[in-house]
Amino acid sequence: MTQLPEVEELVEAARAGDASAWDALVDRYLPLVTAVIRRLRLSSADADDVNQTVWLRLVENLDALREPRALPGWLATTARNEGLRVIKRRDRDLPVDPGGTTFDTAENPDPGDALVEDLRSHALREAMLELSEKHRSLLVLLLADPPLSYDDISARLGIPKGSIGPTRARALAQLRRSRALCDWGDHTPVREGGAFDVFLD
Amino acid sequence: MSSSTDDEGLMEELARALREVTEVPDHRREAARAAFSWRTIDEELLALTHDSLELADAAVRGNLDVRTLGFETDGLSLEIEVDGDRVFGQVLDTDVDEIVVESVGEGAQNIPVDSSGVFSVLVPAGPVRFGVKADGVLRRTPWIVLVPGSQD
Repeated sequence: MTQLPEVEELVEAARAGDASAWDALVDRYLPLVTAVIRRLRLSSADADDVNQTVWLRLVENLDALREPRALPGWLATTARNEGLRVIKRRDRDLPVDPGGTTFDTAENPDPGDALVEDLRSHALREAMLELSEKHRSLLVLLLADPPLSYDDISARLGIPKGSIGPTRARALAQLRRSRALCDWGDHTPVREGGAFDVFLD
Repeated sequence: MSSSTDDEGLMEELARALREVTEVPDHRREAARAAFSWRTIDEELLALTHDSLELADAAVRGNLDVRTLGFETDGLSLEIEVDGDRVFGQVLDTDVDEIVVESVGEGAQNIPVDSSGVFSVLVPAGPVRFGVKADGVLRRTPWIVLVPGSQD
């Protein structure tokens, strides 16, 4: 098993001024923040500003962070809220739609669902990190784009072709048992009033 | 649903989860990492108390070109107004030594403030925060994206 630094440890180290711990936090959560911002279809300059604001906010709130496990929800919500503010500000000159159609209703019947989907993707990435090296490598090769043949995969991993299917099944079973996915099952985020529970004082 | 169907669904979810990693632009990663250099320790924040953008109804928001925001902490409040390419601000309830405007693009600048606590500055590019120095203590707002108004 990979020994993954706990979020708590990274946050603690970053609080103490450790820039490499901060970089590790960024690497871990940036795909989530990027996915949330991407859905808002901002101009690339606005998207950059929102991204930067999210991380600056996290830096300024590092000391107030009480529940590091709530970090994904907080980051996703902050990214979305800041993005929506920029959209409101940019849209002020646009004609008012009498039907009251906003970005949200046009894009997604329920924007909360989109956030939950992005958070689920994040949980899956965390779950992947808990897999054994062998299982993780197999899944990554099976998901390669463009796809690899079983012959290729067999050669790269040094396992017989016939064991790819059964190993995949075991890898996915291990994934389902991972802490990241079990936590997810126990605490699937519930949206209330457009935001997830915030973990700050 | 058979378990092999479940496995296919899970593989599709994984494909998407991994694709999102490759979709992160490098410059976003650099910007996120660089944010750490703005860390300040144990400072009291001027908390956001209102933002005219948050008012649901455009009619209530009034002049849509002007965005007003309020910040507050014990015994000190800051009101700012974004009008066109300028920010107008006023600190209430206290004598101000100095206003510090910080932006990622332009760094920190000290802004003169008059005797009634009023100041004005061009809207800096990118995320920005305001610092109010009073009684020798600097209190900062959270980082915000102001977005300048139109120039007509």
